[in-house]
Amino acid sequence: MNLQTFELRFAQLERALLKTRSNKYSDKVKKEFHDQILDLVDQIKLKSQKRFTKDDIEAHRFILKVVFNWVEFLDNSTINLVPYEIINCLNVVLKDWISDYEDHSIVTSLSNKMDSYSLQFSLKNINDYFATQVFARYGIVFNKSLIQLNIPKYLVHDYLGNVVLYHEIGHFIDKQYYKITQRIVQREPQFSGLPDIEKKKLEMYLGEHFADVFAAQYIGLSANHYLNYIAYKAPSSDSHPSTENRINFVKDFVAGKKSENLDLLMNATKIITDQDLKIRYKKIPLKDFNNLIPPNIKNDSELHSLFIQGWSIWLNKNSVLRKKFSNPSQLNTILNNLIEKSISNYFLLKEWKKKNVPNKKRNK
Amino acid sequence: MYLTKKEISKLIKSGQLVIRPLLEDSQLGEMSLDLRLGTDFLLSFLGREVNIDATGRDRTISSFYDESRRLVGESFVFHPHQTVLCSTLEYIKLPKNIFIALSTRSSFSRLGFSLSTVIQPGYCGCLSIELINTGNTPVKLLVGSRIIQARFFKMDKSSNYLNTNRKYICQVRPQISKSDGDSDIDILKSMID
Ligand SMILES: [Zn+2]
Repeated sequence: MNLQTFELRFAQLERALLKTRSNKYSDKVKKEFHDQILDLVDQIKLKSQKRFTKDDIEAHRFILKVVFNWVEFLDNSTINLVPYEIINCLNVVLKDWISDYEDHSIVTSLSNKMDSYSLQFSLKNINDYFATQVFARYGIVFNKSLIQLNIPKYLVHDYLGNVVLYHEIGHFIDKQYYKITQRIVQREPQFSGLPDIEKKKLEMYLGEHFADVFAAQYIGLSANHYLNYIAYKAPSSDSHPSTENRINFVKDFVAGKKSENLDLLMNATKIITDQDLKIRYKKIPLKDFNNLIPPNIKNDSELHSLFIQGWSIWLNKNSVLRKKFSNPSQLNTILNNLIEKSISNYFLLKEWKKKNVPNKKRNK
Repeated sequence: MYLTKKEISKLIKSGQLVIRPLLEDSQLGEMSLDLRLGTDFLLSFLGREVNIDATGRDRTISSFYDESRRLVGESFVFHPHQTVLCSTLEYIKLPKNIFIALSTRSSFSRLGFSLSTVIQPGYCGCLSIELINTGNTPVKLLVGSRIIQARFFKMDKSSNYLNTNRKYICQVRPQISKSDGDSDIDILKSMID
């Protein structure tokens, strides 16, 4: 690493940013974030980089790394690209769990790989180092945060597949926000004698179970159906419990059955977040789906059940729609469309009621 | 037979006619229903193909359109003479014996937009519409504004939209012309083979 290679990276960042200057976002946090990035980059540009010391280069190398990653996600989260219907559902979930949800914004990066759903972690020590450097050198404070989700590009409007995102938000709540599973492993006396490598593995396993159960609060067994296809019969690995274990864990939770690890998660969650892991959906009737109308959603719990009912129609060989449409691709498109429209109508009507002043005179 | 406000409201109340969302009751006028501009757009652009081939020889119609999305309340600019495919914000399901005729509301016609199309009985989905600004200046419209007027007609007999093999069903965003998907295209082409 030397000044020239740093300059190369800076030039690359500037070029990437140039294209993003006219980006339009669906919320203020992203816009603010983008503006702050532009401000920071402008200030770095004004510095006489030729006089950078080794330390300066090192710090800026790090700053650019973080910024470039943000730019990638922001640039993939413009209104044209971001699947804002499902993101709006996930925002409802965030509100259930964190009080400062307005300081967070879910951003997505569209991946070319199938099934590449994931939450991109930003570790606290990295964030702290970045924050210190940027404030000390430029007086800039980023006080909002981005929740970075990777989504397969081809599945952006696929609402049966996208149930997996509820699981990814579960990881955010656990690993990034409250560190629930980490604290369980560190504090529960029965784990104190374990070697570090075993502790790490246990934490990963509990983390997956937590995210699965977290998702199931909202979408029931929906993610199980999908998991059982994409990770069919997968044995346990260093990072994930076996598919069979994961599926059974969720089944127990939804059925209200007890198990040792489930109890552990539920108790710790209650203590740390003051929230219960519990069923949070209310199933809507299938009538509207069967009549090919986007269901009218009355509240948040009904909203999440759209995914459950979509899956139930899809899985049931004898469902009204399966019988009406023998072509699976056509049925898939229809379900995706009905779910998407139902979600967007729900949020639009909510917003409309908030903003509509009844006595306002309008020109006819 | 032409339906009046009273008859249309009756159909809505009984659930035979579905309009979602109906943001305001005032969208229903004495003789027609106002429909709003939806959030998704397909824009024609000049690509590498020399012409749109609707003879069924290749399936490249989609390569002439770019997708674009907006939020309700944002604006959308219609450039002169550019074909813009959009859809109504409202998802509609028509009874089996009612069809509707769509036109632009007069204030928008005066801006240079024109539209005239018929939606078949039993249709369900957001309505795909093509809007062309025929004037010489770009026109900015608000997404969600009431630009379309629908008039309702009753037929003596019912038709069953779903029983025929429909090209468009339960759509929620504008659809590219499937003119090259008509089954008679193959017959027409075989006539000179
Ligand atoms: Zn996971």
